[in-house]
Amino acid sequence: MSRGRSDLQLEGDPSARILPWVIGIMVYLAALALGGALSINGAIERWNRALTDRATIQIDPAPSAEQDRRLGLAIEVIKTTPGIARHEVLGRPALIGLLEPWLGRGNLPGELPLPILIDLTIDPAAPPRLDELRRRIEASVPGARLDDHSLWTGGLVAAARAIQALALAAVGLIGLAAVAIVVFATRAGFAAHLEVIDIIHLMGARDAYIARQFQDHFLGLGAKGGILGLAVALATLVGFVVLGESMEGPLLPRLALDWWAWLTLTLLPVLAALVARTTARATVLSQLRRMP
Amino acid sequence: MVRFENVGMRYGLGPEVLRDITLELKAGSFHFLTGPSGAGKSSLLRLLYLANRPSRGLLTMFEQEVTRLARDRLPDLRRRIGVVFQDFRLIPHLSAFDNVALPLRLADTPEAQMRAHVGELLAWVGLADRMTARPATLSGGEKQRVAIARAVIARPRLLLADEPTGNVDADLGYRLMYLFEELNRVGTTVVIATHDGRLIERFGHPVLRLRAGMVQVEGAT
Ligand SMILES: Nc1ncnc2c1ncn2[C@@H]1O[C@H](COP(=O)(O)OP(=O)(O)O)[C@@H](O)[C@H]1O
Ligand SMILES: [Mg+2]
Repeated sequence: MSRGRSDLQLEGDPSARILPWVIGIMVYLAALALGGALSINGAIERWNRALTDRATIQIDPAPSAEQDRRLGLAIEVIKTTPGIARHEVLGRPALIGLLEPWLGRGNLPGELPLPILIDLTIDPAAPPRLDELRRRIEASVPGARLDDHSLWTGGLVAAARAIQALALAAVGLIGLAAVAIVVFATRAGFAAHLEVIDIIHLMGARDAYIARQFQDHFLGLGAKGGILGLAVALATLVGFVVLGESMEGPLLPRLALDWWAWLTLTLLPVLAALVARTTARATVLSQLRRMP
Repeated sequence: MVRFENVGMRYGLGPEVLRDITLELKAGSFHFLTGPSGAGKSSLLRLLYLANRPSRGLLTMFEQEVTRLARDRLPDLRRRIGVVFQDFRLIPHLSAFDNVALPLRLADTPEAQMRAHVGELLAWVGLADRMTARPATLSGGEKQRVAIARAVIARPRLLLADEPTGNVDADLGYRLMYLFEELNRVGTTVVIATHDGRLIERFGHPVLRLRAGMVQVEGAT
């Protein structure tokens, strides 16, 4: 019989008017931060894809005959490696062409030792195991190295992950602030209704009975604010996505969210409601424990 | 039913307002609790309705020693105690009916049984046509009858009243006393705090007299 009953009539409290807005703003900010963090996942994936379909084999300079022998060995390895769509040897003339803009035409001494570069285009449908390729190249070709650009993407990904961690930390801080607000609102409500709480306490109401009225109340406020905040946040994020799609450049951190990322965002109001409920319950129980 | 052994009580860190209280209330007894203002009548009642616990000594109620009882065991004991507070303490936003129904709702009484019971009791105290009224719209006498109905609706084994005749005219006060005597006849243990000597004289029940925090029993218990 006591389920859903409200002897305290918390519905008319100031918290009922103010808290949904506060929670709404917090869920809005959290949704933006979380949306940003989740969309970075997609960006990292795209960067990895854009850069891992290329790799370079570099063979150290050596006397001409030796260099030709090493190039032959390297090409042998490349040809017996599945998943490499194309390879292009950048020999001495091509390298001089690459260096000229920096050093000036004709400034390269004829005997300057230059490495050989082999540019590999990887078959994206069946990419080779690059670590396997690296091991074979380095074992069978003296002075050869495989560069898969992981150093460069590694830095980019690390930066993105750091931003992601910051965004998630922001979500966590917003959650803490929400807990603090609910604690204060619950205490204010408890103080405002102390007279009635005291009477029903003396009639033999259990702590859980009194706490339930507060937790039901705050669950509703949290859900209300959460849905409000999420609705506005979704509209904002959709706006960013549309804006992002109209921009050029594969490396731009465009906002793009998978379906499960959208789903994660819709869990925020649920989380807000549960945080409000649990916090209100814990606060009321701790206040009640001060009564004999 | 109730036994005090060297009970002392203080509010917070203040001085002891009750000292070395030793007394026994037998089941089915009827006592007046009296003494000058500030003697500790309300404080002793607070111990009896478990609003405070003794700061020393032993207090046994319903075969349980309450100073050491776990906090979550107290609600069950409180449900066996009915209290008519000095200022009634009705819940302002609940109707007369819902105020009286509260103890039954706390005890999870089935709704239909609860409705029948509350309606019957309110009719018996003459408030059949005032069930939906809020306390603010009730007269002093009506409020008091609601408070009494709420105190007795769950058939308490111990009934306490703090200055029940203080806020109403003498005639109403006497009718109230007859009601308490009636409940006492069916086995309820009753303690009434009052400083009204005429009331005590008229009804002639044993008296617990408080003076400076000490108790003295007069008359047969
Ligand atoms: N809540 C309280 N906090 C501190 N002191 C109190 C409180 N209630 C009562 N007292 C003190 O306890 C003493 C006894 O008061 P009380 O029990 O109300 O006496 P009575 O009901 O006989 O007039 C008084 O000195 C009073 O000031
Ligand atoms: Mg008093």
